[in-house]
Amino acid sequence: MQFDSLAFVAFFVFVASAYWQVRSWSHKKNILLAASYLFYAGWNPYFLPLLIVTSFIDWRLALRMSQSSSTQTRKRWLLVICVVNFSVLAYFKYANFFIENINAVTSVLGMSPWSFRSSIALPIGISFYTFHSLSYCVDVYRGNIRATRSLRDYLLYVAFFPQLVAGPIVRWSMIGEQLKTPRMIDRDTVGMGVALMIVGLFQKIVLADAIFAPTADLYFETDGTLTGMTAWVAALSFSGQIFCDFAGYTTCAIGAALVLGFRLPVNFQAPYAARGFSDFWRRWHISLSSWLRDYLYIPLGGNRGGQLITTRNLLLTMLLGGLWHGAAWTFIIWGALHGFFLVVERATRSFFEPFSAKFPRLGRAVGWWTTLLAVVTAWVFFRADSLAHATIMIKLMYVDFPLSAGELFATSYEDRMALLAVFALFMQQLILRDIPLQRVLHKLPWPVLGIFIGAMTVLISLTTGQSNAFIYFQF
Amino acid sequence: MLLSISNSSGKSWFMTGLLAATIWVFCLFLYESTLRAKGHAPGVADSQQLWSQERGRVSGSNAIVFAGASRTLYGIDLGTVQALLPGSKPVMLALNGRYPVATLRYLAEESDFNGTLLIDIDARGLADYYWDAQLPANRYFLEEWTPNWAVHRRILNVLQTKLSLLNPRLGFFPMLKSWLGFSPPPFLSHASIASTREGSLDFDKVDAARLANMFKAGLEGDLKAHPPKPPKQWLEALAPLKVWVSSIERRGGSVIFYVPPVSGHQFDLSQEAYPRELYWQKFINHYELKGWNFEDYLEIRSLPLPDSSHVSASMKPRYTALLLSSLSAAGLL
Repeated sequence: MQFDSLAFVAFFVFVASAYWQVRSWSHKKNILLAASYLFYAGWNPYFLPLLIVTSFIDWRLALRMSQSSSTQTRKRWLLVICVVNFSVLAYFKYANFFIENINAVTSVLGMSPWSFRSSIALPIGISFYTFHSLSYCVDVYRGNIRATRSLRDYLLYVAFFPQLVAGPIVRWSMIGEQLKTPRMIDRDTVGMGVALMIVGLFQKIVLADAIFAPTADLYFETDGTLTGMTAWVAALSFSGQIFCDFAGYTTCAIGAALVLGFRLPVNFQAPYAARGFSDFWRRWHISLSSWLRDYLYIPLGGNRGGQLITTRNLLLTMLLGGLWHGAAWTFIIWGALHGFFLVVERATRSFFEPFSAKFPRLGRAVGWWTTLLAVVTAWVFFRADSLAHATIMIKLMYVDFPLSAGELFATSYEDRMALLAVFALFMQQLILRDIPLQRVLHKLPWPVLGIFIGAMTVLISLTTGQSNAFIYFQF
Repeated sequence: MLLSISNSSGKSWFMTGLLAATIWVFCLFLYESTLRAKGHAPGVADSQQLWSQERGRVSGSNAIVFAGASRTLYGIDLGTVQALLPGSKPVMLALNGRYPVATLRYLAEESDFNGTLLIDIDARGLADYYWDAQLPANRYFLEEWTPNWAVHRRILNVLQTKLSLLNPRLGFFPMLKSWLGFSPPPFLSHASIASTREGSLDFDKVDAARLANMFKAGLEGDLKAHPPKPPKQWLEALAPLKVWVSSIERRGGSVIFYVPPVSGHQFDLSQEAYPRELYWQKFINHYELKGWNFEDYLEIRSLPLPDSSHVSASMKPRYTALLLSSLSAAGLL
């Protein structure tokens, strides 16, 4: 099910009403679990058993693991859990990519290609719920949390519908306690939850789908007729689209959960106002970057093994982060680029720090501008259909330069709308750099907030084009 | 970091909600009133989702699927089909302005379908330039259509019949573009469509002669951009269609290619570019397909076509009845 569909509106009103009406906490959770599975089946009912079975296996194995006091045995159980989860992920998400690349190599060597090809669709949200489950199992292995005996609570932890298909990636340590104790719901939580849902829908429907997507799609799907200007328009539009699409989804998710009394982790905090790449990853898809940090980067050794090991760990973490997004070289290159940015930032920090200390404002401006430029450029790889197309666009952006004012005025109405909106988005993030959205909503006097929410709802209602799938659903 | 909100903020959420709801209702009322004052009426808007809703009904031996472009979308009366062929399940898959070869290809792969497929297509539409015209709709159905969107579209169908502001053509962004002078204001459409995707044209709302001239200019331009290939080359390229038809027939289904009526310049230009004997008839005879052409039926030839290409809403039942009875008489249906 998608948040920006009328089906979800009807579903959510029904589920929230039933949830509020029921008194027993256990029954409330039963309602949420049933609703979560219905929500998932709204996309493709045939993959629901996969979600249930993999969740059950992880719960059972984690429980067995927790019952063992031997580190060796626990390690073996963890290995089994990882093999099960990564096998499912590899089959559904990476099999075709792997075989295509093997075949590319074998064809160079003159060998016959492997004819296997998985024709099964990618189960929606598989990367997200696999990471939910894995974080739980690793935390149980490490002894950070106790394995839950409640199958229902575990199933609900994995499948809780607001965060099921596109995050934020929730950890048991964040939500386990919330599942145990009845949630308190009051006017503040419901009011804030609904307000967040409206802001999220506004980001998705009005900004991402109506303003940014048409321009980004037009130029990213065009071959041969791009110029330096249109390549920049495309890259900037996609930067706006990916943020509004994904942040819109998670804002809706956080809002929907809040209406039901649950608090999910914040996933975005003005990423385009970042002054450095490590700062960017503390602001963009925070739940994924912290997952990668805690379950990959630190176990690899983090920054404890000297410059070379740290560089390796950063590159490996970001490469795998790129691959997590999709089985394509474009995602791997995107991840590698971010790894490279982090390595360069780390290597040059000591060189720039005295300069930043002497000219703090200039240092901050240069840091912001450099980060933004690199992030926007890297998005080209994320969005492009092929490495070749991405390379052409990057070349146009940096070789077919400088841009003239005449070119800017020659752009279409849609291009100018997208540029205006992305400029406004960057400014908004710079102004509210360290202020969370919910605090902004909280601080606004009610008449101003009422006008904002009313205006957003009007624009959402008047933007009824073809709905686009949330970009992050494919991951 | 978990979301943190302060409780007991003192904020009046009730007043906030009330104000937001008031603004919402007031603005939408104002917008809807403005649209109505300009002559726009509520109605279902066609989309890939609406097409997919109908595409999802294609199954079984009683399905009668209409594929084609505007002449079928706005010409076939589904009520008449059901009345004349009791027990049948008519499904409208024609798409305005798009030739239907891609739909034939995808229906050939639809193992649940073993009914009748009526394809409105002329010799020009068979040319390989146009094979992918309906590909996006078919891909959308296969890759993006979900139970969620099926429910969404059904609710939207109901709402669109009540509010003209829910027509994407009349939404805020197209209007803004027009208000800023970057596009003409949205035209008053003479076409309407039902939630079953049965369309109708009301020629009282438009200058039909002007439309006929527009279609003529459009056809001339298209023939220049996509000139006819030599008959032999054109015919050879159509071999895959026979394969697709055969796969439907092997399941017990049936495929009928038909050319709906056109007149005036539409007819003359088509004949000049694609003479029937050299193209259409060769296609039917060479691949041994079921074919029907309006030129062979005097009653249908004499139907009034105000814009030289489409029948009016009032003529739809008559045209549909004539089409079905002549198909039956010819042993095709």
